[in-house]
Amino acid sequence: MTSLAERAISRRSLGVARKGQLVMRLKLGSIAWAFALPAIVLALLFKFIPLFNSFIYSFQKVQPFLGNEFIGLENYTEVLTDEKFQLAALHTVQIAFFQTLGGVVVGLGLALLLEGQARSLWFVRTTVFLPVVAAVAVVAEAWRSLLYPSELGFVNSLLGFVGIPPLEFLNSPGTAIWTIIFIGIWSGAPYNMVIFIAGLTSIEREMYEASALDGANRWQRLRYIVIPSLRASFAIVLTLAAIRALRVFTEVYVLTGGGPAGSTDVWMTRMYNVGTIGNNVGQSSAAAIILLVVIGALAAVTQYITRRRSDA
Amino acid sequence: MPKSSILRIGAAGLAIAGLTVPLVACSSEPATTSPDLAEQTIEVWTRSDETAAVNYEAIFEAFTEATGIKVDYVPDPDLATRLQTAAAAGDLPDLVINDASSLGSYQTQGLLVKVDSSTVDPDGLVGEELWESVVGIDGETYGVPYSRHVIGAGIRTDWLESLGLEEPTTLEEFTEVASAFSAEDPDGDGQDNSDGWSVALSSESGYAAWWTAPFIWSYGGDLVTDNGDGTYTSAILDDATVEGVEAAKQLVCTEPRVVQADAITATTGKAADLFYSGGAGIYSMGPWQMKGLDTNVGAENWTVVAPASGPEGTQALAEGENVYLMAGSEVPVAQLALAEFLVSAEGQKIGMTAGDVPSVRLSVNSTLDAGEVRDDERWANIQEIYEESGHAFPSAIDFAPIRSAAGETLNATYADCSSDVAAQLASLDDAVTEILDEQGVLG
Repeated sequence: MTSLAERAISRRSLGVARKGQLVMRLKLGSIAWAFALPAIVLALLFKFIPLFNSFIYSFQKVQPFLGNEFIGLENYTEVLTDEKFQLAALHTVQIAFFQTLGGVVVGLGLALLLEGQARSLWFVRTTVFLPVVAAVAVVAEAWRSLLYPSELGFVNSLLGFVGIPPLEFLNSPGTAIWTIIFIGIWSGAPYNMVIFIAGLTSIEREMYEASALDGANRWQRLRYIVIPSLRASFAIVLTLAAIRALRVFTEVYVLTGGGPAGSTDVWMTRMYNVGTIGNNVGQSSAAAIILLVVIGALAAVTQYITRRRSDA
Repeated sequence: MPKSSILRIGAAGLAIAGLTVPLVACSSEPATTSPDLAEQTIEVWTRSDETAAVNYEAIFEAFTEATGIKVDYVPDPDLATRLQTAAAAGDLPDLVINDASSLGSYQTQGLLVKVDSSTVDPDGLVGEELWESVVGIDGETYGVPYSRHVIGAGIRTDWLESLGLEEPTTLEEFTEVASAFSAEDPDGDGQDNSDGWSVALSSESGYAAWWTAPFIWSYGGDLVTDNGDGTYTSAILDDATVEGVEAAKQLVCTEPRVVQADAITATTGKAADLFYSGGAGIYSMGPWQMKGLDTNVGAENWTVVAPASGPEGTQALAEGENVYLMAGSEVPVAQLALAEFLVSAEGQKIGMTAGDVPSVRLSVNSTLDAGEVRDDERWANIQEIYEESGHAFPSAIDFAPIRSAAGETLNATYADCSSDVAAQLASLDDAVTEILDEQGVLG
């Protein structure tokens, strides 16, 4: 949006444009701003002002009706030294790593399988994409009942046919987090698929033909043409998937509530519990700011790496 | 800029502008400061879903008719979160009806105004011990008792009958019955699809602590000890507490299983669904669920009995709702008027009878009897269990963090049947002591 407005009133255009054109451009610019205004106001009200408040709260003992107290970095030290937060950070990184990795591999696989113009492919792509569109809470509830940990559960009843006794899935501290990662991959991979498909269509057909003439096999084609050409897609997918995985909340909250035995407690569920159940808004805000900084840093690093690569 | 993108942006802008309209329309009207009561509007929040809200609406309608004061009513099943957000923003409603156990939390955050019992209850119809239950840690009164109830054990009488079993009373008998429900085919459908006991042991919101507390009490233990001088100490490592938790754990870990398979991550909603749908034979139920059970299970197929008794007798979790007069209200007179109406015989009677989910379970008004008003023997059972075995969490301190910490530890204890209960409780003991210390009430 900013770039539109900037373009409309940029110095360069002021210098070269005739007067009529200038008025026209200014008009277009103000129209653009006018249309953007509701979005800007909403973003201010629901994103930037709360963010600013949260930043202030993170240095306070928050008790609005008794007066907030400034306590310096105490909230931050408490969050960073709290065992439960440390464990939650570990789980979050575990989920982020494996979910991102799995999401990228499965997403790329789906993209390679489902790229093309045929009508049947269009149908399959839509079906595969459905988990992304469905509400996370609904998806989580559906999985919860599919994975019911006795022979009454759908998945366990299937396993029963091949003689495997009922698995615990979400109900054992050993398997719960892997189950959540699996569901995360299932629901996140199709999103990556769409980005990869867009990337694949931009690869010129001549490249494939040339490689075929040179006698390259399927694997070589993937290794030397497809993957290098998808570099930009990889950057987007990795950044988005990692950010999405770091702020995972709804799936965990609905599927396990952070249990059993805290084995799936992630940063966001801990933050939520501290803030709303423990009534410690200050500490919860500090945790939120830490997460924001981590995600910001991650995005910056990915950007830096991909820019350097594409410049090279 | 190409024309098409202007159109696109325009469409997006309009869509967003369209979104703002309902948002603005939803925001509450500011309370009027006019001294004329009839022109005032009082904003009230309750912890209720749509079905339960019907009951409150009937009460507020009668109140408006009687006084002219309008009620801007907001029901929300997740009231705790909503209220905490409102508190953080410094913009509270005028009056809230919520858990009795929230009193300490609200009071220590400065969210409540003091109440003079003689203004709200001029004829002294609300019992003395009820007024004592709304005294804050500083010895002042900070709420008005509105409704009390007790968590009983809902049990399928048709299942008992089909297996030739008696209603259980002790923990051993409960376990035997649950085992039979689980192992045999009490619903006679020829399938192995019944669980014994539907329990909510999720670490979320301290569910595991709600469920375990009566076992601990029935063994003579407790989570915290009230020293009677405004201070509290952790009772987590008392022998009786450890024994109570071990008994509860033994029940959860009984093989073959007597609790439902996903107990360890189940919330009360999930556990209730299983009992409602005929998947389990025993469930810790609150009396507000009676109509729902009658509809889903059939009134003739279930009843409510006292929870399992231990060496120290039967202990049932007693809870309730209080009316809280919130700080910063611009309509203090209307606050008092509504509080008075809510505990009057008229208000309480509507609360006991209107709609499908009564907001008043056991009336705080001594002129009303639950069994008589509703002409239902099960309500008389509930009243009896409450009077004989009711045991509440402390309400003067902020008990929520303690319940939450206990819930997490107990969830971990139940999740691993080979766990060492005493060792796990030792870390909980430290946590509880620290919470009490932070609140400045450690004895």
